[in-house]
Amino acid sequence: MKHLASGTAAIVLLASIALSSQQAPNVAIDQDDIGGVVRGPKGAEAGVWVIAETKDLKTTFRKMVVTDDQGRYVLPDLPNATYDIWVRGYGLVDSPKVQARRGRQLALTAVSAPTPLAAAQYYPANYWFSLIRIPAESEFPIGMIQHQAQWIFQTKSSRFQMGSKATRELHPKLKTMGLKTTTEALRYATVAGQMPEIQIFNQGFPMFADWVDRVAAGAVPPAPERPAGLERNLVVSMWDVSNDVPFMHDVVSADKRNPRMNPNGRIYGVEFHNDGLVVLDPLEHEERTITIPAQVEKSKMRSFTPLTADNPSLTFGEEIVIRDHSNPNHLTMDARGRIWISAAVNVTATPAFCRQGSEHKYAKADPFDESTRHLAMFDPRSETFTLIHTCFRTHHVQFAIDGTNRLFSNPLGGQAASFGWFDVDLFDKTGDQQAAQGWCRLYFDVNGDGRPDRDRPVPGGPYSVIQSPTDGSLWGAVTTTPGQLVRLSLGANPPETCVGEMYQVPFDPYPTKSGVQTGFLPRGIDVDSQGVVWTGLAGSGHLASFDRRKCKVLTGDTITSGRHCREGWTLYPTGGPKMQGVTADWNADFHYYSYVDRFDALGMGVDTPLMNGTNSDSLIALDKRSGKLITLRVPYPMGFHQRGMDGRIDDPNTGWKGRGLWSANGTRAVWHTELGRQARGQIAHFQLRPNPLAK
Amino acid sequence: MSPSRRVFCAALCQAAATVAVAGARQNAALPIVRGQVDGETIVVRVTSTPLDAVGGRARVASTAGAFLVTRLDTTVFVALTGTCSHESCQITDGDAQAFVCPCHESRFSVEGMVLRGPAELPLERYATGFADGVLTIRL
Repeated sequence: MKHLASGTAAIVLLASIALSSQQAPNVAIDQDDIGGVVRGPKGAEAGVWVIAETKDLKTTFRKMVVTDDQGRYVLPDLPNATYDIWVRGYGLVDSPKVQARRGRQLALTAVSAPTPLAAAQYYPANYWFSLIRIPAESEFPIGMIQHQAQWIFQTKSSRFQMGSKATRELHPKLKTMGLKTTTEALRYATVAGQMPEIQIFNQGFPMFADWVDRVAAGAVPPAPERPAGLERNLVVSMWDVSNDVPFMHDVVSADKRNPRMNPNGRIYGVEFHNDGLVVLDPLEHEERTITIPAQVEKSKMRSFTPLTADNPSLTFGEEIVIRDHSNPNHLTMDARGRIWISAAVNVTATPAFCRQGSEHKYAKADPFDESTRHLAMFDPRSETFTLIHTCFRTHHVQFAIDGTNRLFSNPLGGQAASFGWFDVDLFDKTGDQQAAQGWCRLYFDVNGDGRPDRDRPVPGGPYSVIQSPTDGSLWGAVTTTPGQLVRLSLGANPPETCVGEMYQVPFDPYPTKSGVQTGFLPRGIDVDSQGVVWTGLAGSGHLASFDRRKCKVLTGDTITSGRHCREGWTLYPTGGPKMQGVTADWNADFHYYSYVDRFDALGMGVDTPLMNGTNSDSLIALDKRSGKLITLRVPYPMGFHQRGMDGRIDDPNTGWKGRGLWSANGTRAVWHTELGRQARGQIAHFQLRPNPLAK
Repeated sequence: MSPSRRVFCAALCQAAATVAVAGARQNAALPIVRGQVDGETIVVRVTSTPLDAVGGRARVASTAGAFLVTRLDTTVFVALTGTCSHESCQITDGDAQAFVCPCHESRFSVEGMVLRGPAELPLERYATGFADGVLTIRL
């Protein structure tokens, strides 16, 4: 038997050698595809990307696919244009660009990287970031930082990709300013410009300087694995949108409750830096930006980013490039195709009805004096905005799935643990902005009588919000170390029946000693059809689920600790690269938000949980069949820093072609990406084929 | 009341009065005072700046960092890092009671303690000196 197997292997090997010496075989393509084989010096290149880019359309368009195990590829369904096409992959440097039009076979030649350092220039930011040396667990506390997890939290950034070329290398201008040390240069960089292009906490300067110095001296990160298995089935389509200083925080493609809504329709995105609503028509390859208005002169409103700078920007000098009075953060679509945006529409002071002394029932319970972000609704049919000055601060917005058509929002940190909502049906009927608003702060209900204990508030303002389809409760994640999930049960008569709960992420500050699986820093949140909550742990690099049905204790004093339901949690490590000095199961990854594909828009099955690989240019999905996380990587331009995703099914009868996930590059510094100052905002469509050659 | 508590209250009252008189919105940009870097020290001339009077507050900007400075007494200043302990945003705002991070609205007391999250850690405090109208902040 052993002999036979060896013989079979030899025949296969001989056949493959014979094939590789012949002309590359054709791959099946249609008239609007380009296909072929990628070969390198050692033969077929499996798991490398073939990238097509064109500027022939109304906006720059790209399509990217991965080669199969024989180096074959198909770029499917290309718009009519001439494309630059090249190969990119780990272990390679970019191949020379060749021009091609659709409908042809195109053999491509991969170019091996001459050195490990040359190869590493194509690695995602998290790999470079993993070279940073975190103080050992035993060295803590350090100043006010109590343990290694708190330090890692401080080291990571949600603003842009730590580890990108722009963060791991000193800006050229810094080298001409007479600054004596790398630390001095980094100190300057943290206070240069309206929005400094690097964030470093005070104790972190020596660590960051050491990292930058070692990178400058030629340090090379570990190599990522090439895409494999399902990861090779990915097709990424990408359109340039907006301006050259965009902050494309999020996009929406359909009603999250019904992803078959708005088929083949426009994609909407918020451009935070300059108060824009971006509209992309992916069929016409056309995009435009509409300015979000306000109820008062914008000069009277607080801008999110200062309109002055302490020191000239390293990139923009004295120029003021960000004017974000509306600072639109997130958006969602209702069943009528209207776009609901969390955006500032007025001053920070709330209307009188929100405050103490008001007869508004929610203000009587919990008055709000300030709200820095509100609601703007855009109706695509009339191209008009409706502006709503909410009492509660908005941040992420999600529609109810209990049939009430309430739009829920979390407050972020600003208004403690609370959730607000706007009753869209009531507003549509009456036009009454006040009556349509409601909100509840979260208080524990220790004795379980369904009434809040108003002397026992739930700590922490949630960063996210979602309603559970199983019981209508609202969930959010609090972005601290370790961080927690909070849950609000509205009850029959809110606010009197609003009760809160809290579930801390499993955590031990010294996990190497204790052996306890430990995570920290949840941010985004979603919930599957069974009511299981999913959240990416941005600090530790995990996907986590929490199933409240597993909790043995739900009442009593112990619930106020948040540590009473360890059994509800399951943590899935991403396998990302570990930062130096870290022995716990934590890594250099950062996950801004989370998503559950409840309707199978991606094609990995209903209820597939995903999270952003925010500093690894990827969406990360849990393959429930294998229990493994798979990485859906955007290879170009490097620096695809996303903050969310949204699924849409355009046509359920056309297989993979009729479905996909949408996301945007949400970096605050798009000029940090591979294209530098040539970069614009980007919206991407992720589609998963049944195999890498599906056309 | 202890002396430190007295000067703390005095500073808060002064700050509150300033806001009320000015009729400013509740959460406004802090005034900026320029500091010069001299080795490991930031040098700030406070004459004719918001830091000239007890209770004054300002954001001291320099090429080596930004600092949140409050004058508690004739010669007593508190200098805090201007970098938020949550996600390292620059703290540029304040109201009568607190320094406020514009990114996620964490609030910190004049002495750097967390009044409201999401920040968990206090703001780092720097040693200061004052003589002849010149404030020094030692890095």
